[in-house]
Amino acid sequence: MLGLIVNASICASIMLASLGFIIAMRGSEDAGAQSKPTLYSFKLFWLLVGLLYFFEFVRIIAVYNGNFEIDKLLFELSIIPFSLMSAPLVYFVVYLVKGSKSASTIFSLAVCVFGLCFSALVFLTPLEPPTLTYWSSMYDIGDLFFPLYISVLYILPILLIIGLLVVIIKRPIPKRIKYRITLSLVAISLVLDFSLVDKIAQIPELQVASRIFVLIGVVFAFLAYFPPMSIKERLEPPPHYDYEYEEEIDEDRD
Amino acid sequence: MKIEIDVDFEAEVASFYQSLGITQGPGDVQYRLILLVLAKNGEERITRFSEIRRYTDEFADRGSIGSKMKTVFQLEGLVERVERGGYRITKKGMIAARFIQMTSEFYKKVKMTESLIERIP
Repeated sequence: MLGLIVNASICASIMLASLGFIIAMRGSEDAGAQSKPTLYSFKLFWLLVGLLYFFEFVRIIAVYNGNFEIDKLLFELSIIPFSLMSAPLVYFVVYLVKGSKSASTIFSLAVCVFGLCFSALVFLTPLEPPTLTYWSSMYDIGDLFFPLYISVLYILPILLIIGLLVVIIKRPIPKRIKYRITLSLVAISLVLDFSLVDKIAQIPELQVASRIFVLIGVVFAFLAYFPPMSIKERLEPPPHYDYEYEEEIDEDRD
Repeated sequence: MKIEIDVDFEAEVASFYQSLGITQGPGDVQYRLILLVLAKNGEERITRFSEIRRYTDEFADRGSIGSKMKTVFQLEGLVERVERGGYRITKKGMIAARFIQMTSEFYKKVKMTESLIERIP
């Protein structure tokens, strides 16, 4: 049963780290009007990650107490943030590249509708009883729905992230901003990849390992916006000296 | 190659290059417009001085355009004067026009990057 507690602690850490990240980013709201839509979609993504792992945390606590009805209900509820996570992500990338609110809204709404259909499908299909393991209770829905999930809700955002990374790397962007956006995208893809592995996995150790990687993803997101001093010093331009109108000294003149 | 001339856009691009300290060539709106009008007509067609002035009147008087045609374009061999008030762009002039178009592309890329940076949270 110690495994359940460890698993629940990891889920709680992910949940708290994502929510803490959203709270820590409150200061960024003063940024320009152009970046507000991306900021809100970015926060919404992390809110959904927090919500997903909140359900997982409570679910494992329910399993620990032997309450399998709540476990099943929370598993089904956790599918909602899981399948909606791609919608703010699509908005984030499309708006960042195109700069059009309407195009990004249309794309993310389409993904959102697909996500809701996916959640409804999981709700309406009777689930097999879970397998109780040392680490967690495992539901097997992989064969039924995950090809559907992967085809739209996973492949599309991952392709968009790769595309955005290529765009960012090719452009002459200040190092500080390049670092921030690249590490954020790496963090997002880590979370997206390993939350999928988390849901598909039928091996409990793999599920726990994937949750650790999700936690690492959230830490990366933190580091992207709040880098340690050593990295910050490397990213900042050298201090500015006011030499503009001083007379140049010709060192070669003798 | 079809060339569309947007006078306001060319002025915007020129002022961008001026802000980089490039006041001649890409940073000179008259130079840009004259070259683009000549390139639009190509090496086969004669470009009338009045046609050039239709685009440049907003920025310069007749005298300064005429003087630029002589001191820059004819002197450097970018155009040849084929008749009174009629010019034809040379191969060298077409290269210069291509360069001017490339500077517009560069400007668009820079602006796109700037707006992308503004949208990064």
